[in-house]
Amino acid sequence: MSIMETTGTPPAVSDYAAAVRGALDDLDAHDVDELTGGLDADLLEQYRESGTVPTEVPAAYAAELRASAGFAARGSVAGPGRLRSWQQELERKARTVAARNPAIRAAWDFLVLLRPLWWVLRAWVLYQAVATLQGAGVPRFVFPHGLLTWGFFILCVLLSVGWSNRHLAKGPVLPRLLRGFNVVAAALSLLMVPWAIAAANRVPEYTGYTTPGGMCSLYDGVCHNGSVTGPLYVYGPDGTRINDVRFFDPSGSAVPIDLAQPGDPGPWRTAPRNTDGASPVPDGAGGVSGPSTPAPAPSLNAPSPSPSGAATPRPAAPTSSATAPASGRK
Amino acid sequence: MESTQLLKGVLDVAVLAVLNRQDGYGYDVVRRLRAAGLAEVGDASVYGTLRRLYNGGALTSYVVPSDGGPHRKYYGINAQGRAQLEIQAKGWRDFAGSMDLLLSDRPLPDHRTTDTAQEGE
Repeated sequence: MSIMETTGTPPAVSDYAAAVRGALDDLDAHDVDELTGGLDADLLEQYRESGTVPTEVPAAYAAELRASAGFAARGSVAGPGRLRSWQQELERKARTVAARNPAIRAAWDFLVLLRPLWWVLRAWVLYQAVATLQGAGVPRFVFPHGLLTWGFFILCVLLSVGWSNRHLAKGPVLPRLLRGFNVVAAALSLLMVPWAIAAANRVPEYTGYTTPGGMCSLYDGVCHNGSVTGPLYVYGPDGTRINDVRFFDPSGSAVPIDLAQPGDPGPWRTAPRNTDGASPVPDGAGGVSGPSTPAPAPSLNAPSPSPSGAATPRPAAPTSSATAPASGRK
Repeated sequence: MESTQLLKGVLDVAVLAVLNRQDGYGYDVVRRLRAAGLAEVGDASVYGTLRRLYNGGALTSYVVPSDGGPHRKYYGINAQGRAQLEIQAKGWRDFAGSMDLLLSDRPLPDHRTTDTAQEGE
């Protein structure tokens, strides 16, 4: 509410004050009252002392009044400037409220103390954005690991601190861009922190390539397709079952293998072949050929003639003669 | 030199200094500033500065009824304003001291540049 009181006020003073208020009519009524509170009394005293109102036109007087009070100039509030003016007004009001409230002032001071933490958080957002592009969000990228990623993260921190350096923000456009980036980075931070925590909890930590069959490297024996293999059935080039074999590694150490027992026919029925260098071919038809029953075998390069009917091994139909593989690793 | 430009930079501390002596209303502050030698200070600038300092929490305000005209809006300095005045006054004294030294015939403090120091070694 204006405290204007017109009793005993010359028209020149009241008209001038009204014209000043008119030049401020683009502001909120509350701001106009705040700016012109006591103006009538001041103008009147000046009038009584000098016999005249201020020499400048009311518009110029109002412009000086609003500029010195920290309000945007009239006419600058248009188009994109309106948003800027709104932002400045919001900041001004926020500062006013904060200045009058000790709790808010203390909280703000505390947040200012945490500014370095924000620099690091902003750097982490940048790091995470790049790491996500490179590693498709693999959780090991959530936090730096290793020399390269730590180096890159430190570079991000340096960039983040540099962004907050006012000396790097000279010019009319760059400060606004940086402020916009800060807003975006803050929003991304709020989104990415819970996402990163959820991702880290959802996917196990990367421990290297693991083959489908299990951790074969921990077993002292023979691995095949990543899993421990055994018992093994060994055949010679002519398809004859070999029951007593031993394996050695290049250093001369014996390799313990789970060799099938001589009486164990295995889950496969084999048919020795009559070609050189080829492996035995199972009797897919479940024939009677056994370890001690040589029979002609087809070449792997040609379709298997009857009775096998297939060039690749396949499990034999359960027969009474087939026994379970012997267990017991050596 | 354009004194109004210099005045813009120190108007806050000048107004705070006036109110630190005694509370006052707008035109009263203008009058005291002019009496102190700041003859070119604009009354609208002072009024706006008073509103800004008040909004910034450095001043208090109260209305005093007037028999012969509009009520007067008085301003007084508070603890925050006094702290602000102390800081700005120190800044001004440092600045003024530097300018006084530069404009005087007194020798400047010895300040050897890196090149000079290296040459002396």
